This record gives sequence, structure tokens and C-alpha cells, in this order.
Amino acid sequence: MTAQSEAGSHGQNRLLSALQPADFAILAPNLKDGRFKQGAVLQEVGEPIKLIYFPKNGMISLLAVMEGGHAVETATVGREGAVGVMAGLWGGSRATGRAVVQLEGDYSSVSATQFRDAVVQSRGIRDLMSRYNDTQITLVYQVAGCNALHQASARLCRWLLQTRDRSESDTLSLTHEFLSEMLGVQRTTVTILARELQTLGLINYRRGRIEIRERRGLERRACECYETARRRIESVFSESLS
Amino acid sequence: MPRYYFSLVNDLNFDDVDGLELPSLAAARSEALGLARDLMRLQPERRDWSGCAVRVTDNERNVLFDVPFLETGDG
Repeated sequence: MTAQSEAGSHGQNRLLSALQPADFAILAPNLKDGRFKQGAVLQEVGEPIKLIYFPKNGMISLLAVMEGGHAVETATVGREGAVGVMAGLWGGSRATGRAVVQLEGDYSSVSATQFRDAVVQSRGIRDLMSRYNDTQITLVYQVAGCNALHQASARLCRWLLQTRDRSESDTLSLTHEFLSEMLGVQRTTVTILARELQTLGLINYRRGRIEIRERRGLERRACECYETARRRIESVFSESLS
Repeated sequence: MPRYYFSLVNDLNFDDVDGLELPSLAAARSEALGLARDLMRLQPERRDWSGCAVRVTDNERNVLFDVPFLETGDG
């Protein structure tokens, strides 16, 4: 029997479903189901990590927060990942960024203490979570480079595509404030960029709601980071099979 | 909260018909300044921004003020 079928709904998270059945059995008794709402803050910078979240769907953004309160995206997490795994790998960790729910969804969670015990007990869990954590760090580097070097329009296209992949829907509920924060530009600039994509026939845009009409066209206009991130995430799982 | 409308003066064609709800005139000025900076950054190859400005209007479309691109400190 595979971990996926034993895992039931927990197995909708790809990290949990990639565990060997024996490893999954260590975590399983402590996994709890939950649902997060758009805008909920799961972790705040500098605060101790209490829970590790494994999304089954939806999307979470990890934000770097500046002293003046400005925040900018450093990474997003969906069902391929988890929030807070470093707490199990290094022990006693505090959150390095703010984790905010962007698309509401379901998750499995485990307390940091129980997760740490599982990591100590099982090499399989430790290896997979380390590999995922390393990948997430490389993705943060990628986004840092992207924020500095790539045009806001290309970044908006990347954002729309990765949100589409996470939500598995062509209609995205993304607020203006959120996109402006993610891209590090004014809200009116978001309107200008979105309107440009609409003129090209790639999206339909209304405040708070974006419908993707031409996925391929968006891919052509997105920066390379969209494909790079996809490949890196897949490598977490292809290595776990070998 | 009052609603402010942002448009571009000179050869840039943009008029935000929806506008933005903002707490104060100062917040509207800050949005206009940021918008001018964003637009200059979006077209780094363009050198001459003289005459370009962000225009802020109120609900009745009265002009409240213009923020010339060249006065943003970035140009």
C-alpha cells in the first residue's frame, strides 16, 4: 500500500504523500485537519513556530517585513510544500518571515514538538524535509533576484501563473492591495499593468478578480523564474523516488 | 474615506476610472509619487520625462494637484 492511500486526506499534501508508509505512520497520529481563511497570518516574524502547516490546497505567501511595515513576497507555498519545517530541522526556531494565507484552503498540521520528534526518529522524514527546506531557500534567492532584476509586468505574469497552478482555476480572487504588495509597486501601477495584459487579450480584469484567458501568452511574457521554480519544486519529489 | 482618481498628463495614456479610497490628501500624494516612480522604472530606456505628471482628481473630477515626474527625486 502506498503512503498516499494510507494517508487519506493528509496525502493531498505532496510532501506528506511522498513519505514512505513507515515514515508517514510516525507523523500520522499527530496530524490535525484545519482550514485557513484568506488573509489569516499563520506565522509572524521572530515569533516561535508552534505549528507546521501542510496545505492540501490554497496558497500561502511568505513575506519579508520591513521596519516601516512594508512587506514583499519572498516565496509562496501550496500543496507541494509546508510552512515552518525549519522548526523541526534546527529546533527551537523562530519564524524568519510572515506567513499569510492568500488563497483559502485546507491543511494538515502538526505541533512543532511532535514534528521535531518525528524528524529525530526518522531519517526518511529528515531527508525529505531537509530537501524541501533547501529548495525553498533557493526559491527565496530566486525571488530576491527576480524582485531586483525583472520588470513588474513579467513578475505579474509569473504571479498569475503560479497562483493559477496553486488554485487549479483560471479565475483568481486577488486583491489590489495584495498584488501591489507582492510586486512592490503602487496599486495604481497594478491597474496599469493588468490593463495592459487585458488589452493583449491575456486576462480579464476587474478589481479583486482576474480571469486568465491565454495561459500560453502569459507564459511567454512571464520571467524565467516561473519555469525555474516549477522545475526546482519537482526535483524535491523526483529525488525522493530514487 | 474619500476616493481619489489618478491619471497621467502628457503623452501617457491612462485614466483610472475606478479610483482608490484613501484616508487623506497626503496618502493620495504618496500614491501619485509612487506611481510616477514606478512608471519611470518600468521604462528605464526612456530619458526624457519632462512634461509628464500624475494628475489627482476628486469625485467631481476637480483637479487637486499634479505630481511632475521630474519632481519625484528619482528622475
